[in-house]
Amino acid sequence: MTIASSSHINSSLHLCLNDLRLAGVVACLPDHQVQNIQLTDQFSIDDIRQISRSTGVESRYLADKPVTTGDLCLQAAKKLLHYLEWPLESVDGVILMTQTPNQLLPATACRIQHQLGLTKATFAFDVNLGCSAYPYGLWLAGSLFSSGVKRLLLLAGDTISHIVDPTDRATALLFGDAGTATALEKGESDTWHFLLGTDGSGADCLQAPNGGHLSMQGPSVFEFTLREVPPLIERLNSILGNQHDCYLFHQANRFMIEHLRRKCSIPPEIFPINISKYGNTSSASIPLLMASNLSNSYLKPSARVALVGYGVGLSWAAASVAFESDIAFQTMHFSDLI
Amino acid sequence: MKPEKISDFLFALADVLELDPEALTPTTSFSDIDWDSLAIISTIALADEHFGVMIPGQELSECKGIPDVLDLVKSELPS
Repeated sequence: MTIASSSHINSSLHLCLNDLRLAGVVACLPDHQVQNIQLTDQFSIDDIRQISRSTGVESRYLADKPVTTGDLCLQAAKKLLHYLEWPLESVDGVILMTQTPNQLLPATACRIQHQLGLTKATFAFDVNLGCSAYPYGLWLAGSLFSSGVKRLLLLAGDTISHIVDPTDRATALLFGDAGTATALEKGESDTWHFLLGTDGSGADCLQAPNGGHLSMQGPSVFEFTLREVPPLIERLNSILGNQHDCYLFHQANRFMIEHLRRKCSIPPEIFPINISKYGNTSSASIPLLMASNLSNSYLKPSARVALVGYGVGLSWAAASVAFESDIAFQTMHFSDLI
Repeated sequence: MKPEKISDFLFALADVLELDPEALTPTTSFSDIDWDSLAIISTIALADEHFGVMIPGQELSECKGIPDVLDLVKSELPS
């Protein structure tokens, strides 16, 4: 796989948004937790240990069919709306970032609009992105506020376990499922910065044909990540003139993200990692990391947080977001009562 | 490349691949080693960490032993 080379410094688009507020994030996990070490029907114990040592994944939550991406995101959205006490009629739209929608058509976000009981005066659509989905979604959703939107739900979720080949060493022990909901509204925050990029010459590195299994060329993806992410972080820090208070990286693989952390000179105490418990949850991984690992006490008021996604596409995005101190972060399980 | 840098690199690679610390030498063949995508990813990371070079994954996958890997590292080092 040959990926076109690109300039390290200028290979991302820099865009800015103002006057936004991130009100809360809820992540919904399937009920079924699987320990990798139990999967001895498909793999030897030695294989599982070696793979887990490298990827860092010890357990994952998997959505038993027929639980879908939409189901997980719906539960997260219900819990979030309930917690924030947002009237249904105050929500102007729903955007779902996913690579595993419930069906080819219609857009899963349309079903969710109805299931949540939102009014018909609501926009709803899906966006097909994975590892980079969340910072892309924040940029896209945030951009809509200048057109008059006052509140919206940004959903990000995947059930990659449904498209994994259970005998494939590279993917079968890596991916977990989750659905998340993020509440955005008009606010008075400092500027949010976004760096966005795409290199479709590497599209074959991570792909799933219609109706087929996911395939991943791990070394090519890692090579791409090492080439693009460190300059991306350097540029994001230079915009701010400083390091961020916290770095939330897409939880791709522990070996990879630890290497990136060291290369980017980010201290471990401001670089949470949760892949051991949840696996790589694709589009959900960054909001799941927020919901599971951030608490208001962890972040100082007006903290600057870097959100960094990279992978399938090939696509990458980094966001520098100003967090206020009263953001709601919660995790839940699919069957939890709301 | 200094011999001590090479031995540090091979020591770290053996550790990641769960081999004996002395299992990898500059002449080791991969005939007895599982040279899979995990090994290749580890080698890309360690070459970056120890020598500051990026070795292409595709070329690494075609290596038959440590001599090929070291040749790739040398070819990426500034002359």
